[in-house]
Amino acid sequence: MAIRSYLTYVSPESIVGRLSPPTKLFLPVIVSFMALVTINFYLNLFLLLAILVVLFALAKPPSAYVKLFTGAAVWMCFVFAIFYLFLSGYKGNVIFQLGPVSIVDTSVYMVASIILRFLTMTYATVLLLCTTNQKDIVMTVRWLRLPYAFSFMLALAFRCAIMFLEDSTKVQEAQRGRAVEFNKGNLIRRLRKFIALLVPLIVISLKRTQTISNAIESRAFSFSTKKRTFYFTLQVKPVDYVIIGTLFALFALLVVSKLTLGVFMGYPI
Amino acid sequence: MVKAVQVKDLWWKYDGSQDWNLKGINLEVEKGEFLAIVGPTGAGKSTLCMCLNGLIPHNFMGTIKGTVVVGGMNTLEKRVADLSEKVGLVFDDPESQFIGMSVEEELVFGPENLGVPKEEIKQRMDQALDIVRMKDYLNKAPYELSGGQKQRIAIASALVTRPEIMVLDEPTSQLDPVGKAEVFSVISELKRNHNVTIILVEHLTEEIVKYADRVILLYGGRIELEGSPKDFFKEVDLLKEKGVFPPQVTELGYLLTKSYSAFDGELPLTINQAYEEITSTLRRIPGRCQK
Amino acid sequence: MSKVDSIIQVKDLWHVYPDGTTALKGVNLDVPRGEFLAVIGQNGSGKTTLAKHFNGLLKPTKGIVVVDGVDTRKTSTSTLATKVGYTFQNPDHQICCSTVEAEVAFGPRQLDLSEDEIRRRVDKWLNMLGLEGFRNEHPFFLNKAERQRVAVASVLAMEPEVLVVDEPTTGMDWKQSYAALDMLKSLNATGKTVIIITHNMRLVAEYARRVVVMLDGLVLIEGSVEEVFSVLDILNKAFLRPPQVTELAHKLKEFGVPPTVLNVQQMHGILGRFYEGLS
Repeated sequence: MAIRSYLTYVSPESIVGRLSPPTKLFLPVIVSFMALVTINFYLNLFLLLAILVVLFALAKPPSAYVKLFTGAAVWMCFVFAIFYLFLSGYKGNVIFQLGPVSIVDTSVYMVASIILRFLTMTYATVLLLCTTNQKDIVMTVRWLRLPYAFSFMLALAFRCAIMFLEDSTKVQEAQRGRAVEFNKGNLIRRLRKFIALLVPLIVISLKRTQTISNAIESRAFSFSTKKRTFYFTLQVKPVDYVIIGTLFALFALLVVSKLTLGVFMGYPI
Repeated sequence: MVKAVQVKDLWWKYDGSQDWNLKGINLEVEKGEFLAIVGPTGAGKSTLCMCLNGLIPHNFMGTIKGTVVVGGMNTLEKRVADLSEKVGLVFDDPESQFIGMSVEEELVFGPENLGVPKEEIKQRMDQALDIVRMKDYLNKAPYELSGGQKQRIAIASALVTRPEIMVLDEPTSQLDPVGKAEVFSVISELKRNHNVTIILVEHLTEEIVKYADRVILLYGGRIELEGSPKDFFKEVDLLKEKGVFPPQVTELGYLLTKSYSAFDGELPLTINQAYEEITSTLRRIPGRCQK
Repeated sequence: MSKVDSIIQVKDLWHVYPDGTTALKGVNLDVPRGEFLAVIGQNGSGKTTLAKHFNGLLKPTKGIVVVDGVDTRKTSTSTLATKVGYTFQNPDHQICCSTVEAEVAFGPRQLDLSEDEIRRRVDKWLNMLGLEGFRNEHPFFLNKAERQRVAVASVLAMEPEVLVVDEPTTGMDWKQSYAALDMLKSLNATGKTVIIITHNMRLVAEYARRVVVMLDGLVLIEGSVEEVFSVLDILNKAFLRPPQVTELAHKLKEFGVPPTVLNVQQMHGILGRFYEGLS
């Protein structure tokens, strides 16, 4: 199952893969946030190059992921370019004119920045997907000392997501066996067919919740446990704390400077 | 001696149900006994199973009368979490029971909830995997396991809470013959080498006769027949009328006894028993011997 | 058996899944029109993969599957759905309407039939499967055996020549199982070809006329149910055991009991003749 393999794949021994789960999670996430808050060509470029270095030199992503995400990203960038160059209504110095269509320099700066930031987040996502699995995410939530209910529900959600995907394949096959063709017909017909896919899935999921609830209760689960054991422990080494700390600090620095000094807000080139 | 299970005049009705689902169930199970429960769909077998570990009445809306005492604990007074140390319950769907992302996660779930120390969890896990013969499967994900393997892990994850009583509700109904055989061999192992009280709900009467000490027929919420396998499956007409099919050889023996007084009233429960009896009879026929 | 009599012809069928597993390794099979065929084998033997080729849910990686004269590689699943109906193990994977009536009408609606025709078919199949009393019920509230009948009715409303039923009796008690097979038997008597995929050897022995045993993506043996159940060692290779009476019959070979005993009544008849000699 292709999607299932995406959800569960972890790249073979790589430097990033060997970091502890919180680090593997925070690295791409914080870098993405950093990309979001800065609109500065040089900084955006730096972030993109940084993430590309980490991804390709230190993480060994499978080519299937890279191809898929790059393909999707290129399309999105094309869309951004069209929108911001021609439809955004920015005012500035016109640098190109062809009849009624004109392109201003501010839009070009904007497009450049947006594309770089978008690519940064895209490759950060690839990094996330190929170095972490569900267990890492669940363990990180526990490490953050969030209530047990959070990490448990997260773990259950992952499992249910996979069961849901398997069920959806079966429902599709069952409906196709009754002459339902999902990719034909006008919008309204397609919607009706989609409902034929959704209703059984919802019914099955509802029935399943009762069974799951019975199963976990029978194994002593309850939300109000006085003392519970945590069998799995997280190995968080000093280097992880350093990396996470540095990332947070940099991010904080960026946000503060953006808010107070207005630095990085301009469009330099 | 304290009985493993004592059910006294148990009545239960789900909210919204027209009629009582369990009607005056009286049942006692000795420690180490293997009890089989048979009956048609809707008879109340799953309901009874859930009464044994407290899911009923704690997790379901309804009315209950009577008492259920398992391993010395009254199910009305104790929480399901506490009762899970006395009773393990395995359901029929291997898929929905598996809630972890790996076998290891699945197995530690119960003991974690009970606050069992880490070292002991490891020990219990190893023992349980040994019993179900899946020692090398710790890191496997659920989609890497067959139905039979998932059910064996479901049994193992009930075993890690060290219950005195294992209740299995149609554990093989969704499995192929190989999976069924795997689960029955685990059940047989539990019976032979571990002093666990076993309560098994099954349609496959041909397997039940191999293990059960006692069989009860549940029909319309009531126990309508009870006895050792030998005595129980003699009632072929009654059983078939109530939707339970005795082993084919038993039915054969019943027909032959009715028509030709064969089997001297002791109906065969297994192929070998039938073979022994039939061949000894056929050898008495003059002239009609081995070809 | 001439080609004209086969409603499904499978020639050298190979199927490799996207993840690389080869589920079928050169299967050859002819299903005669009007046959009651059971496909048996353990999970992973390829039986479901094979069956899914019959209605085009899966297309051959190599080889050819011809259903009622058409090549499945060149035909859409919606056309094949009018030739081969497929019901799955869990009827909940299929049921998507709020009344039994609407559910049975669902398939014909996909075929853009006239309202009159749809109504005719719904009435016919609700009747044939004893569901008239449930016409306006919500399928959610029926039990598993009833929902299975609804699923079968809704597939039959497409009026296919062939009905493939995947594990019709999982989770049912004996009475319900026999009722389900009786329903399939009366369907078969009207001329429809019925193919069941099942683990229940007792029901196979009592209802099927032809059996295909699958192992590791290949047909291990194929023939009439008497032929197949008389070769115990081949069945064992496929991890299958015949019903108790058949096994008993094999053991009593030395007394002249044929190995083709398929049910209790037959065995009673055969042994009865011996016992009569005693009294």
